[in-house]
Amino acid sequence: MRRKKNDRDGEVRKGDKLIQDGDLVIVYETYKQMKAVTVTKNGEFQNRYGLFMHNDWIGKPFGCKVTGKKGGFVHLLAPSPQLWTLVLTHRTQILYIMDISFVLAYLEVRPGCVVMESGTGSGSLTTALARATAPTGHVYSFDFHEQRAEAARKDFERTGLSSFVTVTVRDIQGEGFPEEFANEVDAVFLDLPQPWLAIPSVAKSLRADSPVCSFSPCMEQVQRTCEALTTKEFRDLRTFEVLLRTYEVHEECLGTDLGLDDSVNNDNDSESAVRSPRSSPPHKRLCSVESKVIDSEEDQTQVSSKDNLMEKGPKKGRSRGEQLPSSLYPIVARPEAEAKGHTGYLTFARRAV
Amino acid sequence: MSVISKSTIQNCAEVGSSVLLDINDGDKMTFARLHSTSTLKVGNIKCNLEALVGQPYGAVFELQSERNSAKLVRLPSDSSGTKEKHQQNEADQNSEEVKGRDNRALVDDNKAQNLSSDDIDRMKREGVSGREIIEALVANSASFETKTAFSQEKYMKKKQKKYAPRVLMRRPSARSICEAYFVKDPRKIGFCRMDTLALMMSLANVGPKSDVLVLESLGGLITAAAAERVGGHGSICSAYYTTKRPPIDMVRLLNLDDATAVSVVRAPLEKLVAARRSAFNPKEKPVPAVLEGGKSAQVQNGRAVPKQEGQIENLAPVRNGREEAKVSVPHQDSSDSVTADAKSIGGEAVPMEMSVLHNMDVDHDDKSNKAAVEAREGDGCVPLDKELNAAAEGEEKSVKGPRPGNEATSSDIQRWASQGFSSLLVAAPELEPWTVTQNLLPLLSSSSPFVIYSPYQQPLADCMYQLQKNNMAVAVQLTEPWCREYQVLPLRSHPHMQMSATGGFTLSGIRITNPV
Repeated sequence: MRRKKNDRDGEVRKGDKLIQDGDLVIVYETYKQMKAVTVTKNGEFQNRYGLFMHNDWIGKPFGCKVTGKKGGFVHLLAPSPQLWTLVLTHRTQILYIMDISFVLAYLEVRPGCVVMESGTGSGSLTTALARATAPTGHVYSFDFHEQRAEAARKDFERTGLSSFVTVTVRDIQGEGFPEEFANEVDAVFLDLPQPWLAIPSVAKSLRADSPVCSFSPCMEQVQRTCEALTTKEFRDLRTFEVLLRTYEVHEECLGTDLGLDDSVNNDNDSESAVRSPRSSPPHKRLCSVESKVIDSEEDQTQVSSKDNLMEKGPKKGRSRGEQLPSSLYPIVARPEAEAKGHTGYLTFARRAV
Repeated sequence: MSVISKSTIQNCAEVGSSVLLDINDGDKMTFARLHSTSTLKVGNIKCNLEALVGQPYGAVFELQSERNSAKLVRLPSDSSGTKEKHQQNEADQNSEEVKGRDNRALVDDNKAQNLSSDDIDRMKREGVSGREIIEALVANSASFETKTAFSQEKYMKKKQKKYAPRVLMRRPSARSICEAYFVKDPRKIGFCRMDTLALMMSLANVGPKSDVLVLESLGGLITAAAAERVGGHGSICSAYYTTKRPPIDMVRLLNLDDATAVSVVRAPLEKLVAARRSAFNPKEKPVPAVLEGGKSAQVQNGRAVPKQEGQIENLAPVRNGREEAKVSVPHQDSSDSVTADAKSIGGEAVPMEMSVLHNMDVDHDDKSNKAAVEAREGDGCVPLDKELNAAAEGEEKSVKGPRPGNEATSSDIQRWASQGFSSLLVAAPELEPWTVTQNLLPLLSSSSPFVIYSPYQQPLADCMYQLQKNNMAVAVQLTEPWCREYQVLPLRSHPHMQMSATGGFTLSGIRITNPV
């Protein structure tokens, strides 16, 4: 199979590997701002933090911080399926890490597995599947969209996974999976508008006791898929919904002075109540200033992104500038205000023996 | 696509295989190892498991008892339940007669059944099979015919479970081990739910070509999950900081091939840390990773050491920082339940000092585990422990070839020291996360991901705050998975009535390097 000169074999890097010409790097600005860049000699990378010269990157270790012409910086990370999901080009809706990890675990995907999926879509799950089945297994991915399949192939070339994935143009709902896979497959994943149409060919393809997963956003789709799976060929039908809640963490200032003279709080504050902020040394993080949100990113203290930072921070009722006589400074975690409410239902079944 | 890659996955259980037995559709989950003397007990019926040898995973058996003996008989695939249920549902929807029925005439006076328990006992003694008993019960039930199709099905199922239990033989996987423990004895796995375990593997990018460092007190669950994903194409180092190695017996519940078993090794944390430091001895080879580690420790100690100074001096505050950190490891007096449980997994109290134990004898390890089990016998939460032990012991009897969990060789440790690990997984709820992070992050190669699991949110939040303040990582995230199961039936789809409220929290990130 085609291999690039820098064989990336499953994408893991040992030691502090150095960035070379031709490497794929994930340019990390913030958790919500990353970009996949292939390093080329004399190449340039421009973002809101400035202009970066690829030549400055070559020879540096993955994970390093690099500075651009204007003094802004980014981190250069080694690619992984998890990061790839966050930077890939969306040609369709994609699966994110929570669903992906659940699918991998439930389908018991491991090195040596032969896995089939349809459609290929943008290749988010495919990348994770390829990483998980390599180097002895293989992923056969089917999509009925010619251009999409071609674009996905290019992506797998770029991520160094092309020898572990085969993308084929085929309408699985209409034609089913190819006959030559009969009884050869360890796991099947379906992300199709009418997955129930593919179930008979899934039954043929799966080895005994092997699992299938169907991902559908609508309960009506799940309903019909489960009906199609309720045959003697399948057992252990289970449907799940998984979500991920993310927390933002910051130091909060909580006043303890209620303006009462010698009330209960006197007992408390002897020891722990009156405390200086735990982070005293380098940060002037006094309550009166503005409790700073170290949300996802230290990078965000860079120039322009301050605004959205503030939005995310908790609005406090207390007036600024007023030095509070006694306060606590606990680290607090609060769920991020926005979360994905629903991605899809994951229906699993196993081929009966 | 003329040549299809062939799967390398084993399909049948053999002598020496570890199996997960699902009794009566998930009512009871039990682990066993197949050898000539292994047995299964359902209710008060005991039977030999030899019938399972050579059978494919996923096969369904019925426990048929006749007179004094009981045996497992394999059922054909179309009798495994789903089909009957489906037909019942169809019947329920299509038959007007059944639809009209309800329980308005039901009188709950315990007189509907004409057979007495003495009658049933007599039938059993006479060697009447379980199925025949069920038929007799139905025939002698005054109310059965008046029941709705639903309650008929329910009745039949209840009786079948009692008189002809079904056993489904599953292939153990990290997921099924986690699910089984989460239901039966969640403390043993630190309340880590299956979806959380799955997420950890993805966040830490565990897979072939990984060198995974694991620090856990979940009985081997994390090590098992990592071993399964790496599949012998890399290494898993399950580190320990106590004088006795805490057992990782759950790894042995998986049927690992030789290459995978060999890839799972153990090492004292102290050794790993020492080797990593000396590998980066600045005299020989100044490497940014060490400087970075040193820098962060300096920041933490509030010392400003000029970067131009000798690198040997640079390392000194690191050591200090670490020693301090070590002292702050929470001690055994904590009355907290999970901490207590983690200790009992280890079979002893957690000492404060890390110490090195060379090539600790595995049998000894087993004994300490046995002692732990015995010590906990009174707690009422032992069944899985016993099985775990039985499964582990069975392995000794019947399995040749390498076993997982040997001590790492010094060349392993050297390799990790010079290359760094590519993933770090921490699941030790009894340890303070920031202390662990400071000490273990330097063991990772630059740009490698780490995940820390805890059933508690706050310690992870504190750790996240420190990580960001000290610029030690990017993509730092504190997350909590949520998982809900659904009943899907025609016109009757809804979330399950009961769901798990928490499966734990994960703190994850990617280690970064800031070259000087």
